[in-house]
Amino acid sequence: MGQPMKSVVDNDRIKRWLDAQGYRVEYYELSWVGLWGNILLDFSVRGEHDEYLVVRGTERGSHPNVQHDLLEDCCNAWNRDYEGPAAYVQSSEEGLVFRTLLVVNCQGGMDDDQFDRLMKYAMAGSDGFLGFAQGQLSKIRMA
Amino acid sequence: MSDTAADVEGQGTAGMGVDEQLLQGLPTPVARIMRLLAQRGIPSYVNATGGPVLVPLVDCGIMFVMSRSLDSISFRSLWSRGFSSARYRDAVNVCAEWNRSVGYLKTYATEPSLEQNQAVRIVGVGQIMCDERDEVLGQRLDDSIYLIQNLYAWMNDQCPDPIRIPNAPYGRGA
Repeated sequence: MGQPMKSVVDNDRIKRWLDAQGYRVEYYELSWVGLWGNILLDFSVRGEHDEYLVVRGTERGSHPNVQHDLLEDCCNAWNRDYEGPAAYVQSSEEGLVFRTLLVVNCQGGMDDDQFDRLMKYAMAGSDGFLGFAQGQLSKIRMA
Repeated sequence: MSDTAADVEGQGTAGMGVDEQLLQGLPTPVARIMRLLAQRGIPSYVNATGGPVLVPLVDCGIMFVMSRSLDSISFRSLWSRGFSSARYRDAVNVCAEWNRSVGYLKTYATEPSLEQNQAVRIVGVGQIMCDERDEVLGQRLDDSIYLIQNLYAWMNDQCPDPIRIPNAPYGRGA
């Protein structure tokens, strides 16, 4: 039996996958952007040879600037204890915002099953981090 | 013979090839990673149980671990330098800066622990997808090592070594 066909990971393929899942996205600054619950996700390919699938998550809403160290500790704890995207804190006009970033090298392409697992993993990771961060922040508030 | 004496080395200098007899005793995916690394002149080690593949580099050590589903390989690198526990916040901040402004692989600071003699260590982690084509998996392994080396070169720029550069922050001459 032959190996499953490996196709390049590019913006068209990302869009086809998102369409097949029934997700609504818009093309903005070379990325597909959509809203999932409380997270804005954008999907793109980057790198000198477009070899990286890059999935960025941005939390909707913000936190007071005085919580900077606390939020950064949350991100560091997630990055230490869980697989998945990197989490970090970004300053914005409204305050501090959680962001996530997953980068995976896809050079050489991959088959549809593997791409499907990767995309689902990328999406679940951002959601997982926000759940984790909310849990950590509520624990600290309760203490 | 101690456990460590039973460790296997995948003789990894370019042009030397690997000891195929030794690799035959290892799980196939682990042997494959070691073989691909050896083809690149990168020595790697694995313990007698065929666990993670360890790659010692100048600035760090890297462990490659195959996922249970054999679909991906995660890598975890430990920077050879550490921070004192008093500089935990500096370590967290520098990791946050990397994650925010550079990315490509994620990094974090460990908490001070007895195991690490209260030192704070910097770790870089990421993953690559498996592929049955050697040239593709080899390129992805190359890339992961390249990214790790970039991370620690960047860390060295951000936090100059106070022993080698005494005028750097926290150096004796500062």
